[in-house]
Amino acid sequence: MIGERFEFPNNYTLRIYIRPEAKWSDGTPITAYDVEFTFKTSLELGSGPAAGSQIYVSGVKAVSDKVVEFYINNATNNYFMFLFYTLQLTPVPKHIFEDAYKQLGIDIILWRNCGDVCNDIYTAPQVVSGPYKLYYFDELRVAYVRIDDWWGKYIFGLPGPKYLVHRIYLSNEQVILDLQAGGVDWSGIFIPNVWEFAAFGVRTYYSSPPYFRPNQILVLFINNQLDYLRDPVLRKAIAYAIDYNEIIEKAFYGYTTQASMSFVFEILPQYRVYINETLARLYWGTPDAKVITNKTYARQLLDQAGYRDVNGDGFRELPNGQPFNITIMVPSGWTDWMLAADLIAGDLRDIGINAQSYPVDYGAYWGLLTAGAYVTLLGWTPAPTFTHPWDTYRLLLDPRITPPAGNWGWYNKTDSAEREELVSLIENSSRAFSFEERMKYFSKIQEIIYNEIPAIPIAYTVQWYAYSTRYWEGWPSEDNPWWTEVAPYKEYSLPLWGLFGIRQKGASVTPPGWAKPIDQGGILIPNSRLLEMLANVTGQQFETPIPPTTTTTRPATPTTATEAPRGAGVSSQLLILVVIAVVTVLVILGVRFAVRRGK
Amino acid sequence: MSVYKYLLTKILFLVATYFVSLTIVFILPRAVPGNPVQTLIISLTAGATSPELLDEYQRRLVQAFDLDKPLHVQFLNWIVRSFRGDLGVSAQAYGESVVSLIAKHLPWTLLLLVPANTVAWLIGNYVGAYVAYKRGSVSEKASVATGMIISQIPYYWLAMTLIYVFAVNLRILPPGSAYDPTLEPSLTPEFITSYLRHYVLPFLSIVLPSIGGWIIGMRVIASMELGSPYIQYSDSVGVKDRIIFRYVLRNSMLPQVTGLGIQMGFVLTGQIITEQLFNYQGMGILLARALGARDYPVVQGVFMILIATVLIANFIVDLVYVLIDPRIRLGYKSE
Repeated sequence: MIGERFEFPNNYTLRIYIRPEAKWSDGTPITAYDVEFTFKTSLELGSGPAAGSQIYVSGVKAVSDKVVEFYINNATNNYFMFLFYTLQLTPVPKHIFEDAYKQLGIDIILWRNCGDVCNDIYTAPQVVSGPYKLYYFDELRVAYVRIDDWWGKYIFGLPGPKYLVHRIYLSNEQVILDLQAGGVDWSGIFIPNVWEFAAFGVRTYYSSPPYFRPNQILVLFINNQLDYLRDPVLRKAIAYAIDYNEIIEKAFYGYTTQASMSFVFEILPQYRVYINETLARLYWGTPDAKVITNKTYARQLLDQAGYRDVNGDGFRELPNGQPFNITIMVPSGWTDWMLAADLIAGDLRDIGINAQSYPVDYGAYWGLLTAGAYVTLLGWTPAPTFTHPWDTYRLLLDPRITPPAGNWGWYNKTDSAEREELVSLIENSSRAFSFEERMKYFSKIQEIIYNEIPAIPIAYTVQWYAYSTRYWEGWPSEDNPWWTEVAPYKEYSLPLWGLFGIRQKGASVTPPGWAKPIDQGGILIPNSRLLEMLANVTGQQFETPIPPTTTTTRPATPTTATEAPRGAGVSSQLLILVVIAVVTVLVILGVRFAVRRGK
Repeated sequence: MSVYKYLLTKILFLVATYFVSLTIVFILPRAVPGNPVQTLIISLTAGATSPELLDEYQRRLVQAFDLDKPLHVQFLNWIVRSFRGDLGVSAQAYGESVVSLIAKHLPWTLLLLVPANTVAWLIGNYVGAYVAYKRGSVSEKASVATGMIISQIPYYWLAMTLIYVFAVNLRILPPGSAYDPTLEPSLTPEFITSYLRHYVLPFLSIVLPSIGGWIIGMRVIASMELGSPYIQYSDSVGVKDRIIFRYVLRNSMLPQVTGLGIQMGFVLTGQIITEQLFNYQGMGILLARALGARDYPVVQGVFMILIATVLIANFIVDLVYVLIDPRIRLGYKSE
């Protein structure tokens, strides 16, 4: 919204024009110097939106008050990551933050900038660029108040609600009760049997199945560090054994559909074109690479590969005769996922594999995932962005990334040549802008996936989106789809753009005129348009076979990588235990001695 | 052994127990998988982010929480800083100090649990002593049976039933929260009314099962007291019923005082499940969230204070014993 437009004057520069009207809430204009300051300071601090960007962005410069330029790092030339860091940057007000930084130094990262709403380590007025300001917060709610003379009022209009309260719950049941009672107008949580809530005025995006829109891909990750699980035949048998439809019906209430083995988000037309249909038919017999459940075939695969029940316990052993067992880790309390894990375990037992679901608490789930201490787990790949399927492939397969940020299956190649090939496939596809060239790389990646089955996609997860029409009307929905094809928003939080189109019950409501693709007079830039711009700048013609659908102007690349944080070593833990033991014994002896002497 | 020796031994035990408990509280959260930085990083990956960005964040957070240091250094840092009044910074509510987090949650819990425990204790004990005194009467049988049943009801089940009946079906009371989410805490009549309306269900869900427990306990103790020679003697010389009842009540109170003391010590952790069911912003929710996110500083901070209060409460109970029960005082002297 702050940016008016952007262009690529040459193949290493992104030039962004800031709206002349854009002002901070204290009336100071929002300038290119704010953007420059934000980026440079963030980079210096290693915190904030530019942290870690030096690999992709080589510099930033305020050319004039309202024009700022970013330069790509030629060493990597990764346009996707370059745009991730630059196009979605939200600036901070330099005139406030500069003084704060001078006073606080590195501690500025602990500054909460809440104005007079909370006691803070540094006091400064709360200055924002958007239409809402922080009003109040405590442990169970965060409240915002609308700025009625917001600078964008004449361009975008004002959002409907004067106050916005984000409520924080510890149990889903309370949310559902409040949604029924009208205490909550919108919720982003799992709701079982959502059709029963229509009677209370609770609506979803679609009024009939699947009710919700897809969000991410639910994936059965298989721990690639475990040797016995590296056998593609075993993985293939597992993929064929899973009864996808049963899981979707029983665990997910029919809110979703089966996902493609290609990991392409085929449910949205702009992504579907990235499935190589020839390969899909060859490997899976379906054009969209969806696996058709076939337990007989799964058993045959295992029989032929030598997985037989040698010791007579009713379960198959490995070809070398060793017994094995597959556990499916899920965060406990995620009831739909727990049921899905139970069903998958049942499917595996059907084909003779000893399998159980393994619910662990949320903290332990991440701990075990990060340490690689699991057999299989139900997890997800992030929602697709304008770079999809590149983003998903990178997070699924890039051996340089480690959990929890990505590569949850600890995928790696043992052969170094193959590893290099995989890495170069991922890197090259981020630089290829002709559709054919990208498809060449994606096809190779799909072939690797089909051959090795690094992980098994189960179904799409759901964008939880339920609203109540008790007080507010105009919510985007199937019948009022003014806010739809935009790239998936951050889950579990209210789609903020939606607020511009809702009005109090009874008031007349029309969707905002700017929420349209750019060629229809709106501000949304379609995926195809962005890729086309990139193709022009890289000197290659981009022939788009992509149907014109819109995405937000913010490209978002949910890719993450971190080294597993490991606390102090085991030896140190032992040391502490020994110390406790010694202290306890000494204390007991000492007290007994004291008591005896006392007597 | 004199009273002083008695006290000295108790204090010695107190300090030793405290340090052993602190060590355990330090070790246990670290012994289970997961750490505060992981859950914090995961919350960042929900949106769009880059591997390099997370690398930077992770490096900084691991340093901020001392996780790169050996355990014994972390432990010593924690103990030394704590005794200077600095319990550290929460990981989940990053930037917020543990002391201020506790200060925010504690009042809500105290306001709920102290009155609830006191009311339950007073009613339960009085009724318990009374029905013991009225042995064999209908009121005794009725209250014993009722007490027995109520005290055995899981309190979370009772809480859910209360929500179902009063909030979902009858819709006369709100299902949760400490107050209407659209109000800001203040001393206006509007806020106080809202607070009290939200107070009823959680209060009842704690008081009811608790009363049952006290009735049963008190009745047993009081019955035994009634059989003691001094009561029989008082009875035979024609002391008034009301006075005998008072004797019984006072003399049966001792173990119940201990019980109350211990319960009040535990008030600090809140009622985790009750608070969760009612989305009530007390210590229980703070602790539950901190445990789930492996927020070491908060878990350690809460337990550091909790253990201190429980130990001190016990210590005070021991002291009160010496003061109010001549048998203990004299017993020590005679040894």
